[in-house]
Amino acid sequence: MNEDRCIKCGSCTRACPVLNDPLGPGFPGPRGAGVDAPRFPERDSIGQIALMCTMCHACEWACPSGISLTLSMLRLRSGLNEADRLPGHRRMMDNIASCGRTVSTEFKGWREEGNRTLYFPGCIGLGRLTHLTEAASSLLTALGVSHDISSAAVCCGSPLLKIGATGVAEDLRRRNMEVFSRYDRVITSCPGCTNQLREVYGIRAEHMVEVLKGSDPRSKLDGRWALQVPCHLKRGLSPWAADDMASVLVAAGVDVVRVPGEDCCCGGGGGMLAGFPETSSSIARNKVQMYRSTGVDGIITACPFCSLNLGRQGIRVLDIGEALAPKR
Amino acid sequence: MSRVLVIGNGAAGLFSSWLLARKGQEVVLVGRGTPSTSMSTGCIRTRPEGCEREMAEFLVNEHMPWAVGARAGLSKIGTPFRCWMAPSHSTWKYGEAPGSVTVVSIEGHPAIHVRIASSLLIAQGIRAEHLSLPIAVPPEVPLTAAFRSEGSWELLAKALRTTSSDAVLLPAMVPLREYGRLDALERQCGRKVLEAVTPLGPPGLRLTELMHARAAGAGVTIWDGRRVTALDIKGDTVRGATVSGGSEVKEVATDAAVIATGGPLVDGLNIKGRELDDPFGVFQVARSTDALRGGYASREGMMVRVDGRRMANAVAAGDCVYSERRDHGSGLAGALDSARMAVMALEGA
Ligand SMILES: Cc1cc2nc3c(=O)[nH]c(=O)nc-3n(C[C@H](O)[C@H](O)[C@H](O)COP(=O)(O)OP(=O)(O)OC[C@H]3O[C@@H](n4cnc5c(N)ncnc54)[C@H](O)[C@@H]3O)c2cc1C
Ligand code: SF4
Ligand code: SF4
Repeated sequence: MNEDRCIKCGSCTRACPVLNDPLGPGFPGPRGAGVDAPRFPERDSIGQIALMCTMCHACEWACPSGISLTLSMLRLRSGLNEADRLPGHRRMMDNIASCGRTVSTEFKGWREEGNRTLYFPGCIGLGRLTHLTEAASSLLTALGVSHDISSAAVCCGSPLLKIGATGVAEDLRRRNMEVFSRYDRVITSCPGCTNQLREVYGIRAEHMVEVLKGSDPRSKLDGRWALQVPCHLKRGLSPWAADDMASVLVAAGVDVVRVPGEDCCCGGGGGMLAGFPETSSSIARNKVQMYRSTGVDGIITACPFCSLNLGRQGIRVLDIGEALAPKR
Repeated sequence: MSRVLVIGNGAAGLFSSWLLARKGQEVVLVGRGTPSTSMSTGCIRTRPEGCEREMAEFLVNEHMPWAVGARAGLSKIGTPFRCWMAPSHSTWKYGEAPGSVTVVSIEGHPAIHVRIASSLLIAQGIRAEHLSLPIAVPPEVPLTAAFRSEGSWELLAKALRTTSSDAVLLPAMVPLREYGRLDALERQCGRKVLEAVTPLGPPGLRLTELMHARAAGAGVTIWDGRRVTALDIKGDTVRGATVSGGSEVKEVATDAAVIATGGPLVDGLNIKGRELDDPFGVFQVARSTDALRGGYASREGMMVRVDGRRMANAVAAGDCVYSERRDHGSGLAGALDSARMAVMALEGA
């Protein structure tokens, strides 16, 4: 790893959404967890507080020395003791053991028709936000993309890597690869899944924004909408895809208001939603307060975790799939 | 109209993009990471030679007024700081130092060093006292975050009214949009409010944010978080570049290039053994015995290939350029000035 290139400039700590939140102190920060902890292993496991990070990549994006901070912190997580596992993370693992997904599945509209394209909604889309999945699926159909939604596909494994359960993640990958081998194309709504499929599985999965870019959807949405630009879309997958998110919506006729901070983390990633729910919702609450002060009618995002975490603060949040779906 | 690719998101890259966009060029600026500009004190220490007018126009901002001329201020350890253009609360007019200063510290936070500061103030003939605010902030937490609530500002104003000095010295903690809070605080407490001149903190970030907004406002397309990994050069002409961001890589075409990638600190230049080296592996680097001064060579304003050929459409600006006159602290003025000269050289090409 390249931690020894750290010049101690603190750019990472200033960029960190957790350290910048009133409920964030306690987290040692990206420099503490990503640079110092791995270099001083004799100090022992830094324990549960190492998990108090949303994996938003803001620190890595800010680092002038190009240090792979998130990767370094992920490694630290995979070395955590089983005893350090947070209650919320244990729950995720229990769910995986019983149903293959991090949350229990509510979705009923499986489609297993032998299409060449697989729409892979992800655990949140199948468990908590089934309306998101239904809207995205009808949008794909409207765009002429016939697709399956397979009940045999399980969690992509990304959240498991984030909580340090590497073995379980590998297991899930093997199960999914069998399903994916029946398809030519995989489309996701969750940038976390897209990244995982690309980086870990080595398949060229597409995020919904990338699919929408080449098409010409129209929106009947009224009102003024701000964006929540997902971390794993902008700083993980592609900063260009994040730029496209806005242009697709504008081209579709949505009144989009660009606000500073739209690309800051919602607080929902990296296992924080389950692991540190208070800090996670504090970050979301402060972010929603910022959105409210701009007088918008709601927020459009492209990540189920953002939808869930910000939506819980009582503001209207739509996924890009919902914003552009044909009216039912 | 032609396409110009600007590489580097610091003062030199942002100023040259703004100048080019104002002249009607189609500019794409590619930059990754925090630039030195963000790590600086955000104060322009020396008077820029040729671009004062453009620079003043470039740096206007509704949130943060500037003071211009011979100025003096104090660092977070109380050392005197002289400069030429600074945010209004950073400095006083040279020769009009306050007679007494209260240094304000926040419990447990290294943003200001009261003991050292007080003794250095006394050594300068300034009466010093100090005030420790009863707010505890862990050292890794940015003060900007701790001072986001109205409550902490009220507490600060109340505490400041109890001091007997003419001026108070605060750690730097206000972001650009909230710079007006310092004026409000000055009214509330009836003392001159000074922000310690601090590198690696909010002042540099404010400066970069301001420049970024100006460039974007002039129509520059900013590709943040992306790095130019290779240049496509045919003979003496840059024709395009490879840009990578996230897990994606793109090829872009261009009619000209401004290289404003900064010094070795931000990976603008490589350090190879004891020498500076071009990360693109294309251009000549002029060495200097002073590490601060080495950088890309130029001939009549244009960059030079390793084989000695003068480029037809590539110029360099800022810390990545060889400059015999660069000293500690002269970086920002030098970066702005060389950006203007680079743009002039491109126009003449
Ligand atoms: C701690 C500190 C304090 C300072 N204080 C002062 C001060 O008080 N006053 C003053 O005048 N000067 C000061 N300086 C110096 C001043 O900050 C610099 O001289 C000036 O900011 C240089 O500007 P620049 O645009 O040339 O480079 P930078 O601001 O460094 O910008 C270059 C940018 O280009 C990026 N880049 C490099 N390669 C690539 C690539 N291939 N693709 C995309 N992007 C790339 C870099 O990551 C970097 O972000 C200070 C510097 C430091 C480090
Ligand atoms: S990934 Fe995000 S939350 Fe985690 S340390 Fe870095 S900036 Fe902070
Ligand atoms: S931003 Fe990078 S170089 Fe700076 S302190 Fe953080 S890890 Fe170190």
